[in-house]
Amino acid sequence: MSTSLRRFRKYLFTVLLTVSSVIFALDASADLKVDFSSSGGYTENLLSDSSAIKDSYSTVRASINYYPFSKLELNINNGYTYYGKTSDLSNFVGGVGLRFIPTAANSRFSLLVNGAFSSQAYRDSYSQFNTDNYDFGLSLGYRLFSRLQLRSGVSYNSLIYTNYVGADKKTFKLFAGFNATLPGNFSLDVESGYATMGYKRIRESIRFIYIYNPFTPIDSSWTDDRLKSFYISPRLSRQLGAKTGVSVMYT
Amino acid sequence: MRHYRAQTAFFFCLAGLIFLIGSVALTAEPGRTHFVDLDGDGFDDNATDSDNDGIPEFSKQPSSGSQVSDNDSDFKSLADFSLPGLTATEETSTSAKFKGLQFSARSLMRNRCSLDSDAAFGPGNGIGMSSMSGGMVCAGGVCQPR
Repeated sequence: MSTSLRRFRKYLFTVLLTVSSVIFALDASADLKVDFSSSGGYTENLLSDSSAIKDSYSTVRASINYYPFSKLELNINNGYTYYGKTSDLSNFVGGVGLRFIPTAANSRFSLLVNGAFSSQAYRDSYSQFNTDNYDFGLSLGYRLFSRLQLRSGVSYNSLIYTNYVGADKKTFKLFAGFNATLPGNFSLDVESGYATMGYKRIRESIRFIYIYNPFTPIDSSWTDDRLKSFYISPRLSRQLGAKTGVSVMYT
Repeated sequence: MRHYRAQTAFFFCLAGLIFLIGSVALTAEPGRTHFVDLDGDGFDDNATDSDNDGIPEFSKQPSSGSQVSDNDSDFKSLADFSLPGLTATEETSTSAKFKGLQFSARSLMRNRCSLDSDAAFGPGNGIGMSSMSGGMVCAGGVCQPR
């Protein structure tokens, strides 16, 4: 991707959002929800590490949800976060996404398909943190009885650093489980799943990393690796009152 | 010996599952909306939360979203992609219909499957935009690689 295009990408979702707003405003029958929000705060440790950087931050966000038909939701969102002292960390986050539910509301069988793309772009001095994120998910559910529901799903995520080699991650998840309501409003939820993540790690033979620039990409320093996880997680919970509950989970 | 123990454990798991399904099936009353807690918070997840404040409107039950029946009308509506009309109201708008569908698929929107070290396999680590910061340390809206 050319440098000029990379510079433009941080404004891409702002342009998309503006164009969509104009188009939808002209179409009186368009069913859409527009959301604007802003927030701010102060943190004693911005990066949650030993640097203990104190800073204030403020965020503005805008999003449009559009429903071309009753089973599909499209989303465009954009946000900008500004940091008071460490202003170079200020960044744009924009994305597009969809959720598709082709099954009926009173159906025993339910299906959810979702996909999203988002991009985070920092200022030039921190552009090595710029990322593109791709998400895809497919989930299935089946109501065996009104008190027993089965579910299963897969999801895939790809996190790509656009200006840096070595930190990209590709994650695949598979899960299945059931939720049963037992007599006495006890709920038993059992889930089992498998997740695997492909990533690059520094070779064991590398003993020293130049501390002032640890993110310098040296291809020979990296090797591909894969993290795997398998879990069985039963959870027993009980309603104590209309708005209170207790749960015990073991994984 | 180990093979025998595995067989015994499998037998007990299978018996437990059969007992569970049997007891749930026997206590289920067709046509009635039962208490269901999908996330273990003690709230009835068959109750709708129309204002999205996290607290269901118990006083307004049963709502359209909680009409859980065992009738199978399912696959007929796979091709029902009704377009929004100029006369769409809040109840008949496509966004309201989508919200109803979302309610029916609410159990699919959460799972405990995660590789993040701080995830603790808790709920809310689902698919979608929430995983945008996967593999990153985030604070105050800024993220960096672990």
